[in-house]
Amino acid sequence: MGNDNRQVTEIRGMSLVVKTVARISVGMILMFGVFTAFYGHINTGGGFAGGVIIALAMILMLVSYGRDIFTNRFDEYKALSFLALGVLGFLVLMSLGLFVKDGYFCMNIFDKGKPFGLISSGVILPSNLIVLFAESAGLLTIFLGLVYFKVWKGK
Amino acid sequence: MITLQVLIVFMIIAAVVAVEIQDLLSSVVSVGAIGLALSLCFLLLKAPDLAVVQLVVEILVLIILIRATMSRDTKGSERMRLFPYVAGIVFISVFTFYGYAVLNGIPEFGHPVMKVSGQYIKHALVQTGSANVVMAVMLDYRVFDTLCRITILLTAAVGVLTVLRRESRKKQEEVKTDGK
Amino acid sequence: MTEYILCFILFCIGLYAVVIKRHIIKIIIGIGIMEYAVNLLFILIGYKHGAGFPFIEENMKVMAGVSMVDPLPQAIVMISIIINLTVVAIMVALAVRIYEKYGTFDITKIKRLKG
Repeated sequence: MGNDNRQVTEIRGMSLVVKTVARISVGMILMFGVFTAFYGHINTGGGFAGGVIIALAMILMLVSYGRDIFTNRFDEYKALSFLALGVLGFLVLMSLGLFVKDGYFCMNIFDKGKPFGLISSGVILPSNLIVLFAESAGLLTIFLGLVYFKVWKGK
Repeated sequence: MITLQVLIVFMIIAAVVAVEIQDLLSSVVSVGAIGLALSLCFLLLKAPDLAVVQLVVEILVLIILIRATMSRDTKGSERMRLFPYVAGIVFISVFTFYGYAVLNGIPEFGHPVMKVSGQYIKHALVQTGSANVVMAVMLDYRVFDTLCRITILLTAAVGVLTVLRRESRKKQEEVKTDGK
Repeated sequence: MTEYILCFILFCIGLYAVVIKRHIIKIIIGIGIMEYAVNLLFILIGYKHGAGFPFIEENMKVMAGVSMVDPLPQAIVMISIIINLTVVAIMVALAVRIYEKYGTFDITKIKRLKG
């Protein structure tokens, strides 16, 4: 038949119901992940669980809206630089103990504060936040690398 | 604990299903069932941090495994090989021998030794200021392990991006020189 | 004691899948089952009858290991769980690459070493 001259617009992603529910719930999932990381020294979870939850929220948006939602502004190499920044931040935080008299690497140097409060437990709270950032960036890098992999022609 | 034993038997049955079934998607769903039962086991064994982490990590493992298996073939060759079965019997018998030796050595279920952990529990709130003893152990007493975990994540992310590279560097230079 | 034996049986199922199966995804699933069994064994060793969660509540007199389950294996297993996630991710990346190059997941057909 030859060319049909039809314009085929491919609608990526899932149906309208899934897109609407994903858009409503992704904010709550992100907030729950950040809450789990902030209250890691009082409640269950910590930075690792929070990081995985935030990565799952991004994956929800990626799966619901198709893979073009991220491509132009945020590919997997930019997520890799965020991960590297997170690792660097963790190393800097752990090296702060070396500048204090009688300090050692990975020392808990901040003020311990009141127990069961939010701003307490020394260096554990900033550690949880940096681990949250690094963990979510790393898992998002791995997932984006798997999603965007295509065989290039003529290799 | 009878509930715990029922859950572990369920995990064994789901593991047999996951390993033996021919359809890949059903196999991956069975792996998800094992992970969910393991999360319930952690909850029964009084480890709520681990139940949360196991649940979310299980979901991520399922998504990654489904990405690998969707629209891929599943047929295998029909020729039976002898060597893997011999190797399997050897490995499983070595493991059973050492497992039996271990069973005589570890403490009885429900009465742990807790020499080091007693000190961690006693001094956790005073020395670290954190009420969650597991977090205090992970981010203050044993923070090197967390540092190692972050390094492993960086290495694995770089490794995945290298294995699944989209375009090679030479091809990008060729495109640039052609289009100038 | 039966819990330990059931945990070892779960590990043996994973070991069987790794050694005997010839499909790469089944091998990856076998490694995952072995990881589950090892994590479960650590937490089984640290359990204490009649004890509570490893949290310190307000107004609690804490003596050395009186009424909490062992927190040290829990910290180690938490790190082990997320490391296993990373290991499975890189194994799946390698499997996807092998499929794109050879067209099959069967390990008996992946023999050519040319690049």
